[in-house]
Amino acid sequence: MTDHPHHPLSCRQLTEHSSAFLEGTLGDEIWGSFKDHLERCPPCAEYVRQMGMTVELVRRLPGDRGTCARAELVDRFRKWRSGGG
Amino acid sequence: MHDQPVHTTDRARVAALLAGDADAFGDLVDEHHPTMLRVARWYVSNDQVAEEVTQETWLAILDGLATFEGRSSLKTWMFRILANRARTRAKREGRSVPMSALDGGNDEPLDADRFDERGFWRTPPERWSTDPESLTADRELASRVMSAIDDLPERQRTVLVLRDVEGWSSEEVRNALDLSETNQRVLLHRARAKVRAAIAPQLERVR
Ligand SMILES: [Zn+2]
Repeated sequence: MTDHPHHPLSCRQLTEHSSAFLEGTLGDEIWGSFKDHLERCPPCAEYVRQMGMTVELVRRLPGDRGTCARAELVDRFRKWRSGGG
Repeated sequence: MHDQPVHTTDRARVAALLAGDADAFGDLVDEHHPTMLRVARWYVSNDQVAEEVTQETWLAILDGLATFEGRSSLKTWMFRILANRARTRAKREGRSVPMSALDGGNDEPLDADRFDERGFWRTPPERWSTDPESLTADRELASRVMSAIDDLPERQRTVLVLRDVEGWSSEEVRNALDLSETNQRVLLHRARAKVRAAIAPQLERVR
């Protein structure tokens, strides 16, 4: 399973490109060897699947919203308005 | 990712702001202020300076509103103003951004010892048995993800939050943070790999 010396990409190199692969920004020059490796190497396929799930989990988190700065800034906004901009 | 050819919503917002709509301004603050602090902090040395820069930026945004033409999105326009001011401030502070822009650049590649000397798996990843659906509904897991993000080196965290939490495009992140494509990609990948590693033990146990 971990012995496939003919792949031009090592497992380690594949993992380093996994993020770009998931984004669809993998360079043409390694696309072929990446896909080839992925199809033959279950551990790497699992790693890529896990990275995809990780990204999905991060994407579901609520973003930074709301702030105690609102009241103060709205106040400044009103002053900015009345100052004629 | 998605093209926004005509920023009609942005134009409506700008019109409301110019007409003195305080709620519209408050909503804009709620939406962007925390992210602005995060981006300002990328350039300057501490939270207080980031806060100052962000406050000044809001006034600069208001003063510039009348000149907003909608050629870029309002968000892009706002963060361009922020980045310019933060950069100027950082220069005044004598802080060299490019030098530190790739922190974690010297950190050990993650899981180095999981590979043999040829780069093949020595310790392959344990299978995660959970399906993606139930995974995203798991609140405990979500809080693990959040603390993993908190534990990231600051620059990796900033890129990950902007890209994956806030949903910014790679171009938006590169522009706001003055990053090359390569550095952006490296920081994002390292951040994601660390989050994966941080939640793995929990998911490997779920069987
Ligand atoms: Zn492999």
